[in-house]
Amino acid sequence: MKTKKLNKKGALKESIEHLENQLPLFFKNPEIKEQSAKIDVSNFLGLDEFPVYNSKRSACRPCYKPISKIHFINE
Amino acid sequence: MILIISKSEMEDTTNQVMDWLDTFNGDYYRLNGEDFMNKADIINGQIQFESFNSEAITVIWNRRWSSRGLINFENEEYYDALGAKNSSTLLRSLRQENGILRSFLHSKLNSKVWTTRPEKTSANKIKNLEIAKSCNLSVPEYIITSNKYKLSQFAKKHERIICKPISETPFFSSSIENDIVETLILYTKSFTANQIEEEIEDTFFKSLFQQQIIKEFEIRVFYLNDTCYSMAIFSQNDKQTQVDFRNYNDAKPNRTVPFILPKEVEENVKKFCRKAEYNIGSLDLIKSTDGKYYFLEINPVGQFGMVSYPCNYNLEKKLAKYLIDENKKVK
Amino acid sequence: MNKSNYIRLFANCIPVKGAKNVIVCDIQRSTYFEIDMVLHDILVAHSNKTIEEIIEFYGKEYEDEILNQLDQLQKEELVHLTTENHLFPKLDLTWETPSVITNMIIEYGDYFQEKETEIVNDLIKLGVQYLELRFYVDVSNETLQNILQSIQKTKIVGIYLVLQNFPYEDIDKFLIENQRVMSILLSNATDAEDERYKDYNKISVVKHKIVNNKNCGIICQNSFQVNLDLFTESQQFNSCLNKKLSIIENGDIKNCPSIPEALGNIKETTLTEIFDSKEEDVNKYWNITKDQIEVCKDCEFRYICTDCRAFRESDNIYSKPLKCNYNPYNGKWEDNLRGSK
Ligand code: SF4
Ligand code: SF4
Repeated sequence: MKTKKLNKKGALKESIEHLENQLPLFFKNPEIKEQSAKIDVSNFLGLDEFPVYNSKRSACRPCYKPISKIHFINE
Repeated sequence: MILIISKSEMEDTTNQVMDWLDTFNGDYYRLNGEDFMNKADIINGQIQFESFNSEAITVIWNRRWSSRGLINFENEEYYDALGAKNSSTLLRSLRQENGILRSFLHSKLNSKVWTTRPEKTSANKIKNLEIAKSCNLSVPEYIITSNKYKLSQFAKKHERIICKPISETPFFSSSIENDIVETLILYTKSFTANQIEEEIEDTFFKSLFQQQIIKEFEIRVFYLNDTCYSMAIFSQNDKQTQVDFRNYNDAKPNRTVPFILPKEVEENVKKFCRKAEYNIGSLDLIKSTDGKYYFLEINPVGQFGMVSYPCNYNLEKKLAKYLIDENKKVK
Repeated sequence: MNKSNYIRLFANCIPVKGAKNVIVCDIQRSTYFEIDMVLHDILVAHSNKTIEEIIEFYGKEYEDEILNQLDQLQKEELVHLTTENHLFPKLDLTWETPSVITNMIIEYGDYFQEKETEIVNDLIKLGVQYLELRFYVDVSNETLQNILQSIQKTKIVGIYLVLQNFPYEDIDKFLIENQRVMSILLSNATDAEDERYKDYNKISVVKHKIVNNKNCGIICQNSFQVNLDLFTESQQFNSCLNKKLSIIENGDIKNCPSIPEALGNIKETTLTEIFDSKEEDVNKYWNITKDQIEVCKDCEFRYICTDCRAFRESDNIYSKPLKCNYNPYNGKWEDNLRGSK
């Protein structure tokens, strides 16, 4: 896999701030949010290809109720 | 035949409407913008792609176009090498090529019934505010200026003012080390007259400022075929979402409940949609603490799942039904 | 608190009254709260009164207490104040789905390979969205992979696996490549397996053997789910068996694997054929709601609990699920499983 191009931490905010005078005022004092790009394999609700819909990345989702109750144990 | 113009990725709403069309035995075809750009041929004025047949089409659900940007960021390093100037030239060229092909498709389909006509997909906020006013809807006072003096005068008239994009809010992100992604948050900003005095330079780039409405709650209306489906969003309780509802609070999502617009407001909303020529659209309103209902904007191709599900309106089914009925009418 | 206002539960916070207790089902935030019976009356029976009128009704001496309680609810964001009561309708509790069959249980058996193509086509036609796939014997990774691949052609968005063995070395890779798999239940697990999967939320292990469908039907608090779909479906339909279809190990087609009546056998017919020709038998249990079932109809959990008709207390088709030990008349979960002997 190709390695992703990495930027310097904070460069995004700094650059926008330098350009501030040429930008509408809603660009003023932007905030930066950092998010982990790592996928939590176990919790991740993924996307899959669904040829029936001619759609490449559609959401998979759990059922809103237990399909069966074979996995419950009576404590 | 119903034509759905959509995109090939991350578009579950289209899938859900297709489920209902299947239930109704609807005759439809989904054309993703990406497929049209990458796979369709245009030979002597004829669009040739799979079973696509513009003759058979009667009604078009104009939903989305493409999920991919014009630049493939796998190749980001080459754009960096080109530099900003050449990259923007390249991007402009790609956009023009893309735009002409897309509008050729639109011209081929010009005589069909559209949920949203192509020229209407990106709303002109300012024009719409004026149309809304002419339909007796209250709109917040606004000024578009690059002049600090005028802005100060405007700000003094109102307790607080907000600044927001005239078009869409852009999204910026960048990958840094350790698998971290930085995103730039450009939420709606709120200022007092004093803050304008102190924090703003004498001249600045032309921006849109609006009187800030103190809200009791927000309202999202999905308009479909002369009917309004409304939802109240209680975002005022939560400090995090007072100015801008997109600033979601995940732990305790804002309360979203079905709402009935007062008759008069509803009539005016419908009048607006007819006058501005929208068959479907997602409108933002505010109920202010002074009891008035303010129109903010319409998003012609807005998400409606976020109204449909919490209020159990089943809009996916209603839209499918609408498409089926229109298809029958034309045939 | 402005006393000339009306006080309303948010439309997605819905009170459900049982014989002894009342809960408010917060279907937006997927949780429920117990509330006091008097408070329930204030919110439900007197919802057309302003706060002032409510206080008047109960008597001035209760003013502080009432205001205190309402204040509490407001802090919890269960209620809102308004002067325009009529603009906030109740939630429409109609449940609708585009699918003919929403959920399907397939027990893997000898019939499967020969019938796979037909079954997959029917899964698409019936619009099935969720699938539980059970293996009562060990499965090879080729077999499992092939099945998962053909399911890709369907509309199924969530797959639940019940396995005797997990035939993959690389768990992460499996989960990333099979996003539709929502959870895996590994039966008959060893201590080593328990250790190996303990950090995976999608994988749960049980020490006992699940080798047939007798284990199903257990109702406990863990099986409750508070959400709009279940809440609304339960109003008009059976919360377990509605729009469910199953194929068991020997190919018999049933509403659910544990129910005695077979509708036909997959070796002789197809799922769509069964549905078209025997609709009456297919949906025998579909319309039995919790409001018609003994005991459940007095239970405050009836719209967040799912039903069981395969294991019930008596032959009466409306009798209480056998494997539930909750008693709504005293509000207690009893230790011993009633009638399980
Ligand atoms: S009816 Fe009972 S046995 Fe059948 S699937 Fe539901 S819980 Fe399991
Ligand atoms: S009594 Fe009925 S509704 Fe209540 S928990 Fe038991 S099975 Fe569920």
